[in-house]
Amino acid sequence: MSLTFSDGGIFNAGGGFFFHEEMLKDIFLVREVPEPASLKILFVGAAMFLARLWRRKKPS
Amino acid sequence: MKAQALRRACFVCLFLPIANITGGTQTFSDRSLFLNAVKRIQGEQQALTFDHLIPPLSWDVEIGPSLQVSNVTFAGRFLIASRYPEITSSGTVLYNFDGGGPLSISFTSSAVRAFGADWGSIVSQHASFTATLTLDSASRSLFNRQRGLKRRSSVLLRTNPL
Repeated sequence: MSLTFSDGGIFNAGGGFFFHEEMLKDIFLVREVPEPASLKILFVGAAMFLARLWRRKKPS
Repeated sequence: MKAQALRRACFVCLFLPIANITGGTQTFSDRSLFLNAVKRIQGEQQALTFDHLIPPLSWDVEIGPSLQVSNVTFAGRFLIASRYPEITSSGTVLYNFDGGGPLSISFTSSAVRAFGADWGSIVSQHASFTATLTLDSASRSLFNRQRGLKRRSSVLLRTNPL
């Protein structure tokens, strides 16, 4: 997950250089928060996985 | 010489997209409109600034090729945090100094559904320039001829994770 911001690298272009001089400030973002239902499914899956591991290790 | 260039810093008023229900994008030219739109997006909202990077009584600080702030990583040739009044009327900017490539932004943890910022560049020889934001595989060109960073704008919003 990424993005790039380019000004085209035109700084000093007249002098034969092509420098990027990007600037940014005051960032605002929204992050995804896992839904409760997803967490429940994850928990059940983990429990099933651990139970299977336990059954495998249990001597018959 | 660089100081002169900084005084001519030209910030673009980027119009960045917002995704709608159909997965397309919507454009904003004003931060307040963006913030209203963000309210419709589920997730944890977070504001990031670079103010804490600069010590008191200083105007700028040299950082290095990368900077991580709250699970967001910025990378360029050499990043500088600056609050020179010639550059910005308020706050602190992060500046990709003499970069050989564009400024990159990556997210090291949970998916990001929206991202906004004020974007700019030093373009002392040019009255305007074309800025490009590249998201994943999609590109969007943005441009503006307004100088200064007085106007709060330039935001990007997506409902799909970046």
